[in-house]
Parts: sequence; structure tokens; C-alpha cells
Amino acid sequence: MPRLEDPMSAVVFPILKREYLTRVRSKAFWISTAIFPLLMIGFTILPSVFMARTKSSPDPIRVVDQVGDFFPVLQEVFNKRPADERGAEFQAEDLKGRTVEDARRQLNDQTEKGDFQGYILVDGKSIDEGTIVYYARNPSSALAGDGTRSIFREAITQYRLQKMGLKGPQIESATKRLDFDVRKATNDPSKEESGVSAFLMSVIMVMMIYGSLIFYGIYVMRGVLEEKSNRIVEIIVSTVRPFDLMMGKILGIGAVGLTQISIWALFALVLTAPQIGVALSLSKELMPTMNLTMLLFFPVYFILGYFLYATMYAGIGSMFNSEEDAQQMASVVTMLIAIPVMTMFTIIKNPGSNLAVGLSMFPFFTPILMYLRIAIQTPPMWQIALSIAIMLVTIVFMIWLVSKIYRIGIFMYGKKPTIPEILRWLRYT
Amino acid sequence: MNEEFPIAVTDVVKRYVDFTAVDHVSFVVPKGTIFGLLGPNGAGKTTTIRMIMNIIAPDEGSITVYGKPSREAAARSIGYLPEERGLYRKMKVLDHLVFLGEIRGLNVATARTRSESWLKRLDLDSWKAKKVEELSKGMQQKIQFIGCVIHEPEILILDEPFSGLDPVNARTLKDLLLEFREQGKTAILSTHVMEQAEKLCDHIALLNRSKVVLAGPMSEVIRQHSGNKFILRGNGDAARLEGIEGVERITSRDGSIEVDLAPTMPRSTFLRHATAQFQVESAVAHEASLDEIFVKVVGGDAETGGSDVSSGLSDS
Repeated sequence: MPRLEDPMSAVVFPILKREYLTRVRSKAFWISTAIFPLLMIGFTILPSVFMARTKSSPDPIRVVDQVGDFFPVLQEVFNKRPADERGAEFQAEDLKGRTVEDARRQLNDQTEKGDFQGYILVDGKSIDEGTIVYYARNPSSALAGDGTRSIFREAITQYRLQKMGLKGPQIESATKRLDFDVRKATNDPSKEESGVSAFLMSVIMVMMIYGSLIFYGIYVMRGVLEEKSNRIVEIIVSTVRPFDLMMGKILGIGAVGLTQISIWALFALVLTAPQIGVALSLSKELMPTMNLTMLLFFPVYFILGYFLYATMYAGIGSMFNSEEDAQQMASVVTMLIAIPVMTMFTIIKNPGSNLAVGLSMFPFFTPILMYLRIAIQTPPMWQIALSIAIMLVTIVFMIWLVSKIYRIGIFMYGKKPTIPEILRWLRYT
Repeated sequence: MNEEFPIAVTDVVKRYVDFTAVDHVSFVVPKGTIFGLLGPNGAGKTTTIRMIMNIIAPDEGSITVYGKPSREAAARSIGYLPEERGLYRKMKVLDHLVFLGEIRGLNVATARTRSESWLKRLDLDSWKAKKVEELSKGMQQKIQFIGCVIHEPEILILDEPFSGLDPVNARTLKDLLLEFREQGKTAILSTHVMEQAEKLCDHIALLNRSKVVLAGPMSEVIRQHSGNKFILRGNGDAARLEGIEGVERITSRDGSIEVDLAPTMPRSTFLRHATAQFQVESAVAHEASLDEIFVKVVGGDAETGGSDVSSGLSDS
């Protein structure tokens, strides 16, 4: 094991404090803090508002009932549906002696002009064979879809059963709709939330770890580059060891990250509190549900991942003089964060597989993949503990390695160093 | 010894892959003096200073600060103004100074009081709530100077402090340095501008091509390199001076006469003889300027153009 730097000294604190305060006081911090909740509001509230509006007044659909007694059945099914599952209203269209061809010609013209959004012909054949054609002004419109289709399906089934001689209550019990839900298999009833919502939430949380690792990592790299281009670094290093300067920066920006995430978490808690959700008239499916395990492990894997990656980004910042020069090397690190996201869906399908366990133990992937596994299906405790231990060892090693590069790199001005040159720095005392 | 010479550099060597930046350099800095570390660009001044500051470690030799190895000596007893210097541009002036005080071991309250009194002293009081980037370059350099003395160090190390300063600010800095010396404190000043060094320094070490080529008290260096020389003005036949004992050469130039004496010849003896032969109106002992000495010692040998900073710590 390499010799480690002496523990940090007290001088880290003023450096940490400066990093934290100058950033938290900046406008950029508050703007970026505000953007995320606004996006969240956008994603949760706007769709329901939008859907409510589009549902309010879709143009009606004309129904040409050639069998004569189908329309009342259709109307009855329509009326029984809850308002938000109905879709367009139906209007009966009488042939009034016209041939079907004449009526269609007229209906096509009227549809074009916009009195109604389309029409449907119902005759004996369509009821027997179950083939219905909807002639629509805009066939790609979503409104032509679900509600209308399922009302028709139900109405035709009921009509057929009526013809077979069944009475109202019998028909009702025969056509009772199926409610199919997916829940997590667990003995803890509090975790037994709906599958879709849990899945959505775990993807959101994993993406948040992914985004914040890159965001705050690059933030650290910029900070180091800024100190070099400001030429302040040597003024500081005259009384502060480069190691303390580096750790102060990493800790300070990490604290900024935790502050921002806490503000978001608080906001999410308020937004998802039942009373508020009702007030904002969110439908139940759209309400994201948090489970406690996911919430507890988020800071654990964020902090571990942050230390690993921020240290690497700090090293890269110290080697170069401008962001353009640093770009290439930084994108290698960014790729390391992105790779596990690409394997995410393979892991979700089978979170307990050997592949999933193996990948989630690789320290550079752990923050995203182990957290993902915890979010969808809590892995055995020993695996969680082992992943944390591996990460801690990797972080200590990375800090040791990078601090050797950093203390030389921060004094390097001029041309972009080559990889052999950087490796040589490791030997300098 | 330690009390008399706060900084002692002994036989220090620093090598990089394909060149030696500092080659067996030794010197001591006496207490209460301004010590000039002189030399052309690329001579190894900044590398030497960085080793004193323990920013980099020497490959050979030792450096002591108050008798302790520089890596153990509290860096806080030294105020250091590096050649590559700057500030956080987005920070407010007072906050910035308090920060610099804090990392030099002061508590916030002390750092604030001292910062405010320094800002008043250097006429920057009305700028303390402004961001650093709003200040002129000269003002920023004053802030950097305050930052390097805010912890009231016993030793000051300034690397090319006059570069980029306008005459007014240069004057202010010079006064501050002299005041610092009056308080019995010690300063090392690195510069390649010999006129400044000559006016300020009590002792010097001249570096060229990574080696010390000349060192000692300023007055002695000047005397040694000035030779035994007089400049006379007056009436009479200059040729008659040539007959005087100990005179090696007489040169007439622009109405004055340069007289080179044998090194052992006392000047007073010469003057006594000279006044007998020649109507002397004025007689001035000639002193070479440091600039002349520099050119004589370094000669065409001076490496120009290369900077020991742009190449950082690595090979250039």
C-alpha cells in the first residue's frame, strides 16, 4: 500500500469555507437550484393539466347505426364510464333514406369542415365479425384511440350478449372489467407500492446520481483550472500544502452539492405530501412514491461517487491550463460515469444476476449500479457492505495518486503535458 | 548563528530530467537586511525560492529557516509574494484578505482588523466591498502585498516584486520594504533589475546558469569590482599625474581625468601627491554600478529570453 499523505490539517477549513460560501452566495447556484424543481413541476403537473384540457371538449363522433338498436347500448356504456376515460361523445346519424354511399359522401365533407372529428358505420356484419372502421379527420390523433376503442369493444360485447338473451345484471357480471396491477413481492406492506411508480422513481433517482456526479465533478475541475489561470495557487500554497488545498476544494464543493440536493429533497417531500398533491390535483399514478431505502442510500452513494470522481476531475484540472486542453481527458472520466447508465436496462431486467453483481462491485460503476439494484430489489446486505468497502479503498488510493499529480500540476504553465510527462511527475518529490 | 542568519542555503541542487535548475548553491541571509537574489531570467532564482518555501524539495543540500529544516519550519513565519501571483477575481477585497489571513493562521477577527488597517494605509479603504476584478492592476498588487504581510512575518520573500508596477506603486513598495528592515526584519528580494537591487539590497547573491557567481555585502561587492579608481576635475597638465607613484593609467575623458591606481595604493597618499602637481577642483572615488558588475561577471554568458517560470517545475 502506498504511503498516504498526512491527515488534513486545520487549514482545510478556511479553504472549504471559502469554496462553499462564494458558490452558495452566487446567482448561478440559486438559478441551477431553482431549475430542477421547475422541471419537476413541469413533468408532474403539466401533463395532467394538458390532458385535462384536451379531454374537455373533443369534437363528437357520428355513429351511423344501421342495425337500429346498437346506438342506445353504446350511449349507455359511454355514460357509465368515468369522465376522464370517455373520450369523444357520440352522435347518432340517421340515413334518412340515403344510400350508405351518399351518406358517406356527405359525412366526408362535413368531417372535413369540422362539425365533428369523424364517423363510424355500424352494420350487422361489423357486429358479427367485430370489424369497425373509424373514418377520422385526423387518423393519427390520439383521441381516436383508447377511450373510443374500449367503449366500442364493450358496447359490441354487451350488444352480442343481449342478442343471446342475457339480462342486464348477467351482462354486467360477464363483462366486469379487469383491474390488473403490478406490485413488489415483499412482506413489508409499506414497500408494496405500485410497480410502475417505483420503477419510474428509481430511474429518476439513478439519473440524479449520474447527473450530479458529472455536474459537481466538472465544477471541481473548473475550480482548479480557475486557480491556475488566476495565478493565485502559489500564493495559497506558500502556507497551505497542495494536498490541503485540493481536499478543501473537494469538500467545499461537495458541501455545495449536498446543500443543493437537500433543497431539492425538501421540495420533493413538500410536493409529494398527500395534501399538496391533492391541492395540485395530481392523479395518483403520476405521484412519485419514495421508499425509505432509496432515500437513505442516495446520500451514501452520491458522497462515495462524488469523492471518487471529484478527485479525478481535480487531478485533470491541475494538469492543464484551459478547459479546452482538459476536455479530452475529462471526457474519459465522464464516459466512466456514463457506461453504467448504458447498462442500466440490462441490470433492471435481472438485478440479481452474476453480471449485475459483478458490475455493481466495480468501484467506478458502484455509485450508479449498486444504487440502482438497491432501488429495484434490495441486494443482500453483504453485497452493499462490500461495495462500500471497495469504494472506500479506491477513493483513498485515488486521493493518494491524484495528490501526487496535483502538487506538480498546479505549477505547470505553458504547453499541454503529455502522458509520459505526467507519469514522471509521480516520481518528483 | 541561527539568530544572525535566519535563512541558510547550503549546497543545494535541484535537477530535472534534462537540466539542472539549481547547481550547488549556497548563501546565508543575515537578519535585519534586505538580501538580493539576482540574476538573469532562467538563472534558477524562482526554483531556489520555491525550495526555501518548501514548495519543492531539493535533491541535495539543505535549507534551514531559523536553524530548522525548511520543511519543518513554520511557513507562517515567512511572507511570500511569488512571481506568478493573482487573486480570486470574483471575491470582495475584504473577504479575500480575510481568507488569506485565515490560511496563514489568523482568526477571522484579527484578519479583519489587520486587513482594514492595511487597506486604510494604502488608500484602498473605499474599495473593500468591491470585487477584486473591479480594481486596477496596481491596486491588485497592493492587495497581494497585504496578503503576504498580513500574518506579520519575520521574513519576507518577494520574487520579482517590481515587475509590472508603475513608478508610484514601486515607490510605495520600496518604502514598505525599508520600513520592514527598520523593524529588524529580514527580506529576500529576487530581481533581474540591477538598479533596484543596488538601491535596496544590503547583501546579494548573483546567480547565473544555476550557480552562484558572486556573493557578499553590497558595499564589498561594489568595492571589489570598482578597482582603485579616481575621477579628477581641475586645471593642470594631466600627463604630470602619470609620474606619481602607484598610478597605473591616466585617461582623459570629457574634461575629467580617470586615474587607475595600483590596488594596494592608499587613495589618500595619491591625493596628497596629486594636489602638489595639479590644481584639483574635485576628486571622486569611482564606483562601478551593479549593472556594470553584472554585465562584467555574467558577460555575454547571460541566458536571455528563457524564463524559469513558463517552464514550471519540469524540463523546459
